[in-house]
Amino acid sequence: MADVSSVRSVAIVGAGVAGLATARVLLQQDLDCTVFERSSELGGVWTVGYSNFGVQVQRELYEFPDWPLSADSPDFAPGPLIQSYLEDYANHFGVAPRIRFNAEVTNIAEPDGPDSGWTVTWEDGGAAHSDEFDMVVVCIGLYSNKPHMPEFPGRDDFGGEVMHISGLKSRDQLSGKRVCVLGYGKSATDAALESAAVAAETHIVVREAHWPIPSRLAGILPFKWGMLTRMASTIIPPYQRPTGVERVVHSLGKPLVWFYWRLVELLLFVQCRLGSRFGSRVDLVPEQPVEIGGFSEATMLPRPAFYRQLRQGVIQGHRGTIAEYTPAGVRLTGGAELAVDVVVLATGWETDFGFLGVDLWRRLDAGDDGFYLYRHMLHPAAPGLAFIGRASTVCSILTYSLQARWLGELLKGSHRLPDANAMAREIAEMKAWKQSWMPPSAARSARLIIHMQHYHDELLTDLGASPLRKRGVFAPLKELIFPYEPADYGTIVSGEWERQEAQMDRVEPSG
Amino acid sequence: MNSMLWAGTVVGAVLGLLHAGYVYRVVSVPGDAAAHARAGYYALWTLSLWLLFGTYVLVLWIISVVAYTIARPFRWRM
Repeated sequence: MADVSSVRSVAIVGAGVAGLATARVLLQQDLDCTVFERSSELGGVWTVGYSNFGVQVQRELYEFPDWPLSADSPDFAPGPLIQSYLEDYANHFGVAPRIRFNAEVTNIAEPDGPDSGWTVTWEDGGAAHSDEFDMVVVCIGLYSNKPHMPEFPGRDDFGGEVMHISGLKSRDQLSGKRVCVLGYGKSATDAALESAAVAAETHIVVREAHWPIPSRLAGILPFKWGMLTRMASTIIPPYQRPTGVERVVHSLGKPLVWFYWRLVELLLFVQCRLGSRFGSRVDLVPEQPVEIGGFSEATMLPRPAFYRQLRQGVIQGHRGTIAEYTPAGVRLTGGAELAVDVVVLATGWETDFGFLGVDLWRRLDAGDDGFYLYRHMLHPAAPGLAFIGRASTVCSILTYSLQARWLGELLKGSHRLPDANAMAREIAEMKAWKQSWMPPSAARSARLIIHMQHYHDELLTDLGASPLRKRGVFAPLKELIFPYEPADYGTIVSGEWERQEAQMDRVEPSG
Repeated sequence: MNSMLWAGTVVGAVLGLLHAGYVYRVVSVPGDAAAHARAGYYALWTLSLWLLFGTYVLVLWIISVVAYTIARPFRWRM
């Protein structure tokens, strides 16, 4: 990406949250954007949801910073409402007319070598087309819409139905049946609850227990107060570049940090009653400390009813996984046999970046963790290619919006990239940092979770904006203990922060 | 009790001054008077909070050192 100022035309792959946020910023800068969306609707994951799916965080944590959800929207908004919200956003900011629906990108390539522009090949109902662009922004998230369907022996002998969670469109599909849900993420717990409402029996098979995040800590305090504050971001495992305060906290204050997390574990243990014995006489107490396990593959905020129904036996819990199918159901790794009619695989999605091509994939140095990027967006070996949405945080819509603004300002020339060697060094450092402590997963390269505060601070610092977004007389206190949420970044994402901060400097208390 | 209160306040004052200095350095911008004023305001808040909660932090730190020392040989939750 030697000269980004010459970029005039941009292809955006994917019309989900990240794609819409990117198009909104780039269109604002009068760039010629084309959004390729393989389905017939915008919204990405929100178009392929399962029965009763929805947002797993409170309303104020899942909205565009510059386009708030309506005041009467509920917390934990259902999927169709978010879908409608995204359509409104796309219409308001003029993104909708730039979307090519049913256009599946099959290949992107640099016809004349690196940094020479891109040819995007896409299919529209079987017919192949090609278009030239100065830049490509990939906005398909961490995973594809291709279901991950683990294979187990004996499938052909099983007389029942095996479905992926994405195939569960209505709870009626489970009515009166004996159901086994495999998985322990948000979708698995949602599926178990849907099943419990109508099925004759519901089992959930949990391979590995991990710490749940209750929507309200101790049943009272919204989780954002315990997770999304600067104080919380100081006591999680130190960031790649810890601040001076963080170094002291994790050395002199290490026992205090350790003790704090044990108290958190105690709270979760009691609140969710993780010590209860379930179907196979095991509990759901995770082995990893919460401050490490919180960065594993399946961080989730289950609905409160889930653990209640588990204790009551309405949902029968089992530790392990499916060893094999039997004619009457499944046999688990512990030896237990479950007689079931339906197996729901809530096992996530495959990664699918096949359209990048072998050469590009090799240049991205993809491995078991996925591929690492500079600022989670760019790779020095692939100039002119950007990824928005490859950063997994608690507040993804905010992160994607900030990434989009960062990229937009880069194209505008408001900030500059370091040279390729410095970017590669930065990527290597991030890889070493994550691999030193973060639980392994196929998307470890993209995982930030509650390190998002550090990441957002970095993006804002690059932009030349103050990372301190709290305002008012009590701003210093708010910076410490108040949660950060999308509304704090409204002027950043809308591109109006310079004017706003200049005004703030004139009215701030003088000392 | 009284001496613990004093000890905590002294510890809070020392740590608070160090922390306030750090905050001032991070928030201030060279040549920007408004940013310096804001940095001073943030630093003042930082020192005040340390003075107010220094004793609590010290007590919790002592308790946590005891708990950590007991747990460490067993590698419990490490």
